[in-house]
Amino acid sequence: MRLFSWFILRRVLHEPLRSGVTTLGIALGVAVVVAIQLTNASSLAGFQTALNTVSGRTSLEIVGTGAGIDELRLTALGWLREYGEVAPVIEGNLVYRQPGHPAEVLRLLGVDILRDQPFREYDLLEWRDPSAADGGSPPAAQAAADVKTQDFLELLLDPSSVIMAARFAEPRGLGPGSAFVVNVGDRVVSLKVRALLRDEGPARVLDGRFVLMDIAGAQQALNRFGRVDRVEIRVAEGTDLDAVEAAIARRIDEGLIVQRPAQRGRQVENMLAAFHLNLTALSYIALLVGLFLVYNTVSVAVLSRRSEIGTLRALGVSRGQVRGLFLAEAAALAAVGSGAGILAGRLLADATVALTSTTVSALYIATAAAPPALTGMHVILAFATGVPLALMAALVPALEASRVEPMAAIRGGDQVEARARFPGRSLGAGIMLLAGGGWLATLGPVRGLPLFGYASAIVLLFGASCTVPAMLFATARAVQRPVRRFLKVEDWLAVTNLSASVPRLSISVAALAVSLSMMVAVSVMIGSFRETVVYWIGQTLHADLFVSPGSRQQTGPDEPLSPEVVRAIASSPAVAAVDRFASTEVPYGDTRVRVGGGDFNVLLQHGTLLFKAPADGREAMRRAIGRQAVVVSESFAIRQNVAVGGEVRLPTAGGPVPFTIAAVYYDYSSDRGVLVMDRAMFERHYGDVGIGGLSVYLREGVDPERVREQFLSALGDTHRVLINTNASLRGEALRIFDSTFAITYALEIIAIIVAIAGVSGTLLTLILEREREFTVLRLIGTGRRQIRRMVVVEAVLIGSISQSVGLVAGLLLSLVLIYVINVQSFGWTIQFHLPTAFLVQSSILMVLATALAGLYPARRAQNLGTYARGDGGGT
Amino acid sequence: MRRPLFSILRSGRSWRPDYNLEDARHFLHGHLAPWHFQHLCCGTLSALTPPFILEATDVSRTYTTGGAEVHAVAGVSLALRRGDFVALVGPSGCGKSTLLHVCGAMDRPSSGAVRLESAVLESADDTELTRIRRERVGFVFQFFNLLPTLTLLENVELPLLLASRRLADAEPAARALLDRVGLGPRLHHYPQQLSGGELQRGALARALVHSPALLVADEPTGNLDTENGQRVLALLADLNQETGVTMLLATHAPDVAAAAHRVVRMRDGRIESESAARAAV
Repeated sequence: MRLFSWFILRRVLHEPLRSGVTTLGIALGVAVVVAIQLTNASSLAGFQTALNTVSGRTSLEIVGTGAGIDELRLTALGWLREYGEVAPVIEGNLVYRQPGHPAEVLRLLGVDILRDQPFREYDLLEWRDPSAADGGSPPAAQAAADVKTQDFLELLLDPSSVIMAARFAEPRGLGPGSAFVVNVGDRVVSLKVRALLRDEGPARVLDGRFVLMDIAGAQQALNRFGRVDRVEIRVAEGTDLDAVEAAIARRIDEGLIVQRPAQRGRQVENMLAAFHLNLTALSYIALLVGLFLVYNTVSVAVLSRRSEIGTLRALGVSRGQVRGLFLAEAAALAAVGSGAGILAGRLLADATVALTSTTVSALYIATAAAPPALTGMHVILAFATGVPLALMAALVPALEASRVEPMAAIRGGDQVEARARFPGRSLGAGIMLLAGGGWLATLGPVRGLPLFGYASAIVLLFGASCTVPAMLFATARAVQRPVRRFLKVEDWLAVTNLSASVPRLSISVAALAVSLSMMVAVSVMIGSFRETVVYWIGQTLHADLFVSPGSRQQTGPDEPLSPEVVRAIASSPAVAAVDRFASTEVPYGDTRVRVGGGDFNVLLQHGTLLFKAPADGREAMRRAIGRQAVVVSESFAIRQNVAVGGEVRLPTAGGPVPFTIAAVYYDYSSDRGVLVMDRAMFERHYGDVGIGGLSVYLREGVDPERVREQFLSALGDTHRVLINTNASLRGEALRIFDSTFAITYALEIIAIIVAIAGVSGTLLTLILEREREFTVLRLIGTGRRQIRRMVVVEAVLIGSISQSVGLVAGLLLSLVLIYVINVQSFGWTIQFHLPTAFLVQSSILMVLATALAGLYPARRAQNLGTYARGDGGGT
Repeated sequence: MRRPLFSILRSGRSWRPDYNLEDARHFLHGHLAPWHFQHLCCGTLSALTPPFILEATDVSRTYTTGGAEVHAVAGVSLALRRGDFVALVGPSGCGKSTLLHVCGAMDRPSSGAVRLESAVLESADDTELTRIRRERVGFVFQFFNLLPTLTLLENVELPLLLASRRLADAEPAARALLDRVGLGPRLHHYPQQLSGGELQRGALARALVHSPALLVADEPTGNLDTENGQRVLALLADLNQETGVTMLLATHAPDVAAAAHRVVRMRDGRIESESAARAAV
């Protein structure tokens, strides 16, 4: 321990820059991992905690499909009381708009206030006298006594009154008594705050973005009279829940489903699993690159201290102790880094949540925009990944340190291995790994997740890394002659140095190549995806106007358009045809899918879908009209492994019904499974769930922009609808697409920055290692400028080789991403497309960046003294 | 012959490494018109006929280590003529290496003056010192210090290439010199494949390939066995005779000192005594 504090700690503290950069690298890696964990948790937690808190002590719930449960059936369900207390619930989304702020979604929970107390904890309710609201005194001080039944009655008297979370209300200047306006679908609804929930417990759910209403008021606000979303059952303590669930399932009507609240959570979790796995995989890249820094730092420490290590060995320190010392250094740096990483991860999470929540709520579920709090699990995760991996990274240099002979102290630094042989063995291993990676890519998914795909990607990356020594060697050999003949002597020296340092450089170059290949792969994937989407949009977006409720946040599960709006638009003389689309979410297996109904005739006449199968998709679609048949999205077909002619059993309002698959179409708007049937068929099975959106085809020669204005002004203030013209929707689609992938780029940039820091560190290592050579070069008359140029040329060579290996490996990887991982996780067919301009641009940038990374080592090198140090001799 | 000389005159600097003083004198006697001569007298010619090639006057070099001043060299004066073979001897820490560094344009003196041919070293900047080392000084180290990444031939070519000489010129010159030191068959070997004696002979070739005015050697035989040491020493003496290069050696070894024309004995940063060795007589 004393040895550690003398030999390692002092040195670490004496070199704040290097220790700092390393710690920062680890911290950054750990931070990204923690941030992504928090982010993933947040997209679920928004949903999950809402679910848990909202479902309170509910043990079972009865849900309907389609338009929900008719209130009239509730009486028929009276027998449910045999099993416990029963309460109906309705849920919906409100959109709160404040001038100058982005719209915010409020989750509305409508409960039978009087019957609901056994289910949810209302003892946290805090009632405030409206007259005292402006006192400015802290809410806690005003906390009134317990909530009485009488207070709830007040809520019943006024159907527009709500209970709001103080966390949401106070920053927006809302308090008991204040009125506010929200959008529900396209309608504008006025509500009044009756009371605030103290900012603790359930009120923190969804970052406070939810309101409580009495069920009658909620039905009115949501325009869903006579319907509830589910019936919750609280079974008495000590009852066998499985037995009760089975009993209810036997007695319940067709079309209703009994399930545990957690089941909904699991379905959502499954829905998001692939997306989350992708993010997690990306986050570990950042960590990997951080580890590369650890390797570097410890290498530098070992190299620059060879004679010190020799002295220690001469003084009787064992090899094991030397090894332990350097491992301890890595562990110490990693521990500090991980600690900092946890905190940084929390901060980073805000940014990543902001980046991903658009995606998640655009594609999956409405979420809270704030990451959950750090837990002990995250701390354990950070240390459990950071420290052992850092130890692994430090193992090679630590072993090298333990091999230092006591003689090193006396001889004053021994010569480094300078002549490398052709690294045939690692090349062979690389080729075998590449082949293995190729084989892994042919295997199917595991429980819907592309685990073999990821394995293939990792094996391919390892394979590519193994070819790096051979690449370095071959390149240095190949260019040596021409460089010597045609370029300056310092360029030639750089090449000879490179070929001599192959073993030393390989890890660094491989690490850089790996992060570059990730970037290449991801950009090829995104580039291809984007091209595919652009093509798809061009083929399928034919309607002139697209109408959706004003509350709609991209695609979330939302309140429908009001019938009067649909009527008004459909009856306009400018309109040739309208495709009404209605949809509802139903459980399917262990996930949730969207079932929709559209006007097949209108679509076939005016627009089209891009069919994957059968060959004549339009004809198949035409034949599907009036039959129990669906056209399904490609992602549904791939993920559920079904094909044209197959059968799917869907839960409907009247119980499970089999549908034939008439056609499979491409759909890149969502990776959720989507099944569409003709409207008439949909209404028969799911009832009137309201129209979610309209595709409007205008008559010849009508200006869509003008019609749009007309519609908007005709609807006036009473309805808020979103009308996109064809052009603006295309733009919007691409905007969503780009924001979806913003996070990927952010992670890549971090990886690249760390990798460049790594190149800088590696060069520094090499320079320290070759200090004597630099001295000799300076003595025989090499100028500072020539030394500088030599190091920068080396950096550029390293960058170029890394970039070339990265390009090749990245292209291989992009094939795995596009044809394996993407297909298995999202079920999308992406056409391969090479973003040539981007790749050329980024290659040039990369080489420039490595040249830049060479500048600092170059400065260090040129300033190495002109004394023949360590030469024995006199002073 | 005419064109290169004009280029030397125009440059106004010390001589290019490929023209030694003998060549220049020959040339001047045979070909120069009187007005040329006059021109040279005011400029570079004064450098052609100095009594000394190296003149160190009252040189001190002081280091500061841990707040304490160390006078490594304290007021030393030393002058070497062309073709001199001088050995610096003395116990460890006597300042002989430091003096060697100062004379070899590796380091500047803290005070005093050092002139190498026409160049004033104490006021030269780093770029200037680098150029002087590249063109006028050759180095031999105790640990040979050939670059491990280059073959023997490439190591010897390097000083010429650094001085922007064409590869086509550098290669024959390096080959010839390596032949001379007996390493003709080992041209394409890497330093790790050579013995200590071979390495030092290679280092000697590297130090002389650019025809320096001064060869500085720090313990050139210190890391060799007796037989190889003797061989290197003999080679040093022979090359001194053949090329007329001035040699300044730092050494512990009495036999090395004995090979020199003159032995300068140092102690505590000062010159203790100076004696003409046997060989000079």
